[in-house]
Amino acid sequence: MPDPATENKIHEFSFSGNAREYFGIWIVNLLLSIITLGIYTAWAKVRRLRYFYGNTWLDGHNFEYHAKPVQILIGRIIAISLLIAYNVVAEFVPVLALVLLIPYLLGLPWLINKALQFNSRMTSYRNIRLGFVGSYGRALWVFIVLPLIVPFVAVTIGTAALFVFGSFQQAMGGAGMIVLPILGLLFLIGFLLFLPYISKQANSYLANGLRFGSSRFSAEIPLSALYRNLGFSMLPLLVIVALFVPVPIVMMMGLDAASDIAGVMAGIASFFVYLVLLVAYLAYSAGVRNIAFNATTIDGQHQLLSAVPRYGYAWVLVSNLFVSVITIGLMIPWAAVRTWKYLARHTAVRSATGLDRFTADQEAQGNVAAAEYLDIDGIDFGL
Amino acid sequence: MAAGFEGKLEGRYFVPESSFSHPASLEMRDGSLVVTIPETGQTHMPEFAELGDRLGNVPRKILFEDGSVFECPDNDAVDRAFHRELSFFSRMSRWEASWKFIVFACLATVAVVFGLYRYGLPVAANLAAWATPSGVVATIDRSTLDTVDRLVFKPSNLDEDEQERYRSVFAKLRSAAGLGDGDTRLLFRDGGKLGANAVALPGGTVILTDQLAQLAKHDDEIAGVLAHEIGHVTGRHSLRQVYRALGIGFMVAVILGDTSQLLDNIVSQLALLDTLSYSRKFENEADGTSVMIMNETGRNPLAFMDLIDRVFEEAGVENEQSGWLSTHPGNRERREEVIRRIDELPQ
Repeated sequence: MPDPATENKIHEFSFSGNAREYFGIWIVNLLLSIITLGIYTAWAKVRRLRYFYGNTWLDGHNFEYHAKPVQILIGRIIAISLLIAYNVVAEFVPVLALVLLIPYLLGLPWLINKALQFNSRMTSYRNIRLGFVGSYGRALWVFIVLPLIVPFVAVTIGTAALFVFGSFQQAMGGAGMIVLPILGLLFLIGFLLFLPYISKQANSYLANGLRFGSSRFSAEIPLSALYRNLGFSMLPLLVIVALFVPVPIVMMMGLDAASDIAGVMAGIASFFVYLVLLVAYLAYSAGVRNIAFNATTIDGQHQLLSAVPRYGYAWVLVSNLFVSVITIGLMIPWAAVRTWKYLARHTAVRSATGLDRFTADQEAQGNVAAAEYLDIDGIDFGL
Repeated sequence: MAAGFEGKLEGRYFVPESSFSHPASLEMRDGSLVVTIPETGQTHMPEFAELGDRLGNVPRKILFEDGSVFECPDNDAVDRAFHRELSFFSRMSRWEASWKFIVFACLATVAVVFGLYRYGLPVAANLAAWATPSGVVATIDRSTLDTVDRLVFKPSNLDEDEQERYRSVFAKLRSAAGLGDGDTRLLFRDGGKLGANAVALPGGTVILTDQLAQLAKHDDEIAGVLAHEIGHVTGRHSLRQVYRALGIGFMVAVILGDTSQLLDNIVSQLALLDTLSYSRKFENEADGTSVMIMNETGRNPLAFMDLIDRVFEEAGVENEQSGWLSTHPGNRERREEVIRRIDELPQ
């Protein structure tokens, strides 16, 4: 019998940490990591995640991170040894390195599953651990085949288009230089058209594999919303680029190409383009998070809610970047707390039955070396 | 571990394997821990398993063997009850909250990073370069040569007499630098896209391009350039550069590994600037070696600067000053520096 008081109640996430407190933890982590030539980074990682998880609250309870530092250290040593071994092979026997790429790509889905499993098993809420149940075939399709198909298709379309225009090219003679930018543009367009589909597949895989104790997460992510999100994230920025980038280029044409002013102009223009692409990417990922969360339920009774403002999120991250660089790193802890707080504030759970009726389940533990390998390689699923 | 438990803690008790919790208290009775749940009047006597480390104001968890958990937000009370005030992480939590310690940690971090960068890194790179087995270096040389032969160079068109002349010059310079036959060798190539240039590979292979040889008006000019490249070989500059870049990459990873990928990317780009400036330092060092062994073999140590000026003239590039983005020092500065070194030579 549902309790009327808790029926369809919205529980908001909140973050109780603050930049001052985290600064102390961060600087001690940093100092000890450097003095121990990196060994302490395992302890640092655990303390950092325990701090962020432990200060994240939902319905009066906090999250927890459970990995043990020695575990993380062993995982890192294994991951780094493999990376070094691969790079040595690549240096001395480049052909073998290329051949090894195939088993690497075939092994990656397994690694990703084991890493997801480990990271979720190490997370708990109300004494109940999260879990992840993956499938090798799905992971291979979502994380390897799909992302490889996209550039392949884009390049094929691009090459076909070039063949059509090939006669023009020959007529124009030395204008062969134009091939590269056209190919690049077609590639970009092809990639953008596929991106929402990849986002759907990847997020469905993650959301449907996730467990909370014996409860299942499930998600039906709408593709049309993802395409709309792409439009909202890219369009305003394309307009800005179209309006402003020609200015320095036109000015440059009037100048001696080798002159300092032209160089500075080119620098400003490329910085601007980089910034605009970064903002578009951040806005897009905030939108994907919202769509994926809002489509996800636990046991069909508890719905995740996310309402992160696209450009608000981009602003937080870009300004964090500038502040961190300008203060030569001193504001890094402030930036980390700010981002986490911002995301927590825009996330909630709508629950029909209250959040205290979950039960635990026995599940596979995952693999710490897999998790650390993906961590070191910078592959992040941003759950 | 829980033997010396003292006092009473107030908090929440999580039943094993469930997300359900009750307000509860924890105390020691007759040598065992007892959890009391006032709501129901129930008591539990689970066996103690582990006490979590202290961290900021994150509520403390006391774990029991049966999977149940007692959670207490009062970290000081937990430390007192379990006599953990002096444990490493409880002390660390107090340090992390103290302004004095934070200021000290900041200064210490800056000092250690600077020390490692300024002194530790060059010494480590040097040691690593000397410790690298010659077989490994020779393999690197072979694969690098393979690659550049395929991508950049073409076979040399210099006639055999000229090659022989440069080889004998090279042999004399090599002995003057204290190197043996197996330490370094001279090869000739058509420079292709690289044009007029000379390169030293990590294992001691020196490559002279046809284009540079053609620009030379006197053997001393080529000899000076070869002596400069021998300077790179004796100093093991390429290897040191490789190890330095690795070390910097490692430092960036340790310092920024925990922060956002965005910042990591930017700083990794900035680290390239370090490689550029360090390579200017190596160029100066190689110039120094060049001056020394040219003088020892009775040749004109300044001649190679004329050749270098001619290379830049030919390419139509002004290279008077050294920018902070250049790998080599600017020509005017470089000439002045070479003259200064010549003046300092013992007569």
